[in-house]
Amino acid sequence: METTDGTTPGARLPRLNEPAPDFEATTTHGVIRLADYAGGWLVLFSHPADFTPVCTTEFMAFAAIYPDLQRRHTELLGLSIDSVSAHIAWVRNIEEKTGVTIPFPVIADLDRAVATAYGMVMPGESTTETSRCVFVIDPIGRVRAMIYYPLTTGRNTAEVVRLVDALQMSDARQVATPANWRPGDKVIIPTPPTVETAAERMSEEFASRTEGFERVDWYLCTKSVEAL
Amino acid sequence: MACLNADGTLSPSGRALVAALATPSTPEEVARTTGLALYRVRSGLRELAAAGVVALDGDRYRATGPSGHEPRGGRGPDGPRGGG
Repeated sequence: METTDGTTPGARLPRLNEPAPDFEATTTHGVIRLADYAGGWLVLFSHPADFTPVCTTEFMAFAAIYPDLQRRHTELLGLSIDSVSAHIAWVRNIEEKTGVTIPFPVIADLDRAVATAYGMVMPGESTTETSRCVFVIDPIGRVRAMIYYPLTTGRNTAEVVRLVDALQMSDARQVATPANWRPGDKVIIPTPPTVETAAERMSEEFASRTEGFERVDWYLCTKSVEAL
Repeated sequence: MACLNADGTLSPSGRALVAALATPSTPEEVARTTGLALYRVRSGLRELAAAGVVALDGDRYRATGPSGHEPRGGRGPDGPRGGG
């Protein structure tokens, strides 16, 4: 049940590293369930409304990164509180006016079921539209990253690709990534959890057996890794 | 619907999925055969199974009739939810 400000009492927002809220939704590509993406990565994103200017530029930008995401075993899934017919009309209009084909499905979330489960409606901004949210969901269905942008501000889709790269690198090599990390840059060796491993991290023996090792101090060390 | 038209005939992606099931296959195998994304294959096969066009035996789907088989009965000219 919704309150007058569009919120749902007791609604629990997704949290990092917890299971993504399950859904079955009508989309421009048919009825899709979250489970249909199992085994691969998913970027679920919302936009405020069809046939609006910022959203149109974002859809074109998301379409541009779709091949890059596919190479990373990552799918895109859009969402707004519009009908599937409105979505179809809009994506056809984008193609007609700009030549850009929208290759990914878009959820028609008229009953707000998915938007509510993912906390996409921000009543302080709008009670009728979803904000510009991005959820990165991993192959076992966990929420791994969330981005929330306001209605006024289009997202940087290159950052979405960079984020997927960073998450996949962290999973593959058990490392962290520093600010503004890009594939090919050095990665951060996880902080030592004990005084013993902190001391080891300061040793020349550790440095000599770690490819591309650089040390600022025991808690900030980087190394080179092979590309994924 | 993605694989079934409102009149009950198969859409292009529906025909591609049924054709790929000339031999029983897993969704992953169908995705490789058709070039469709795995999420579309899983979604489409679920829809076709509900319509009786394909059936699931273990982890493999099979077509229930010859390739191009149409589901039993139509769903009316306006689709399952009416034309609005």
